[in-house]
Amino acid sequence: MKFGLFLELSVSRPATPEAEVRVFRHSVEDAVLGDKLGFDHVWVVEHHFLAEYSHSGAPEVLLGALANATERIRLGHGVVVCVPEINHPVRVAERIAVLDILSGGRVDFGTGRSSTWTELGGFYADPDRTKQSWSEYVETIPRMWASPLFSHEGVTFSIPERQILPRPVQQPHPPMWVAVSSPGTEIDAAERGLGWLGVNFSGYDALAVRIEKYRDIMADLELDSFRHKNNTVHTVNFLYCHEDADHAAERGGKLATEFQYLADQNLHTREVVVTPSYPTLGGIPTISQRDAGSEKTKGVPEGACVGTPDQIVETIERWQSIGVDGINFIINSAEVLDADEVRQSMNLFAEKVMPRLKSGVVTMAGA
Amino acid sequence: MPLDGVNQIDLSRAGRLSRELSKSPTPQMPATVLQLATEAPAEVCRSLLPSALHPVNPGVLVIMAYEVAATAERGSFRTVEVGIQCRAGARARRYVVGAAIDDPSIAADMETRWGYVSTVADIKLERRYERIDLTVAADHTVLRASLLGPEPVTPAAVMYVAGLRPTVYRDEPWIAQFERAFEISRADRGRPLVSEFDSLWWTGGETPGLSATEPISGSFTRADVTLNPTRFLIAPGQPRSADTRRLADVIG
Repeated sequence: MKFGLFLELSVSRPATPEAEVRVFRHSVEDAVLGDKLGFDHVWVVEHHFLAEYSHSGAPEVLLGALANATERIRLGHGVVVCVPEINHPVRVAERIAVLDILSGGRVDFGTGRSSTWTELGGFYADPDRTKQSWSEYVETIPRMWASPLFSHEGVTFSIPERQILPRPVQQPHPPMWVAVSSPGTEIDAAERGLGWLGVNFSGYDALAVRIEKYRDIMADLELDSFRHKNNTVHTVNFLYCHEDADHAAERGGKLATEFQYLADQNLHTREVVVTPSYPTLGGIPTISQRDAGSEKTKGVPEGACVGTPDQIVETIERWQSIGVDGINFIINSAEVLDADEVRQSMNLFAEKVMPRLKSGVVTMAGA
Repeated sequence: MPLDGVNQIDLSRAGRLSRELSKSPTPQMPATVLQLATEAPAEVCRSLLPSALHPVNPGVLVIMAYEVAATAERGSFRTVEVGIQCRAGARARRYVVGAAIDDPSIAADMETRWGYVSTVADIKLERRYERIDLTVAADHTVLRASLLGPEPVTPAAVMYVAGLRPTVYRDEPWIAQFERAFEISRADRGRPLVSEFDSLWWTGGETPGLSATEPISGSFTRADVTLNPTRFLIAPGQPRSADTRRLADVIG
């Protein structure tokens, strides 16, 4: 089982320069701590214009700093918005390669297409074409890295013959992922040999069915030698680990509620654009609430990694039992938690949860 | 903290909630429905929303026009509403800042049975091959808008969200949720164009700066529309509370 950190860089209003500096500084410190504690990945998202929810407009710069500040943790650049108006594909290939060189081959490359009108409309991008451009990016970027000379005459972009430089350290290329939220994207992922980077929450049963479908397609998939097959499922979750269950539920619930609240202020493409290309709202929302317990557990989604070490082990084992290979954690949102308590939570998780799940032995949930 | 609305509900413009409110849905009304979404100035949108509602980012203006067919129980009429896309808690909603109906008896009925206040105006919804034109005129033209280049699209691509309206019960302001059900048989989409928009008229003289800035998207559908009874009320003055209550719990 792999564990990662998912850095959204949420900044509470008013987003003063001091607040932004603090959030960025804490994010670097959290990543460095994660590196020392044995977390496997740190993902830095890419978002534009999403006030409060994410001020991570230039993740490649932050990841460059993390490449220098960490030693072993893998650096998730993602998801990169694969839309020409936002990121030219050659620039994406170049910066992934540079980051891979600087980090000593520690990059994971996440791909996606954005689910908000806030972002797509801000760049005058056409929501009808984002799936097409994403598909073209994930098809061509590995070829850019593999070909001495590359040219492409495509639908969403074209490039005359050029050398795309530099090349990544990892061979044939850094592991590639796609953000999976809408049902059906797992099929798109499997058909292209991409890892499943979960970015929203769903119930155990619904996810199990989708993972089975993903694995079935992956099993039969054959790729060209210059393509890396990443048959891996990572989901997203909240993390708040504390020895006191009620305290964990109260603080974890606050984290989850704040995060969802901020996410829901964004303008989903599905909501205002008449298009079959965005069948669901996408993104992180749709968290089922666990309201049955005490007032303290209100806001804690089912399946969230919120609780005591024992409770979290049980939760993760259940995710593991349906085929999840890794979990990326949202550890804070707009600093609704103090930096110190975030680190205490990470420390406790590393001390009492990680060792029991890193062995590769799965015990059945609740056994 | 997400941004909250800052508006105080003007009780003189709010619909009255009473025991005369409809307790059953209307029969299905065959209708054509035009929906136009454009971006709008964020601060103006926020200024129109009560504290309990949150603006979306960016601000969005939505114009909805219905032309109910002559075969409907009450015969043909047209209505247009202007709304601000928003959030009630985490839910996508539309706060209706102004509405027009071209039939005085329907307007009166809507106010009595749904607490939905509208102004009587001349409304024209005209379908042409390459565009659908909407015009609303009171003593002058207060709205001229179009859906350009309509092209067929799967009905599933169209999304309608529930509306919210300012209402009053026992001199206390409330926000009433206004719910309609749509069975769409045909849908077209296109590009919205708003060429004339009288912000003061639509906002009851309250706000001059509401305008359509960047076009987003629009649709034109044939649908059977049902107007459902009011079920939910929101206390308007509580930022971020999502204090939604059942109508029955408030007015009995």
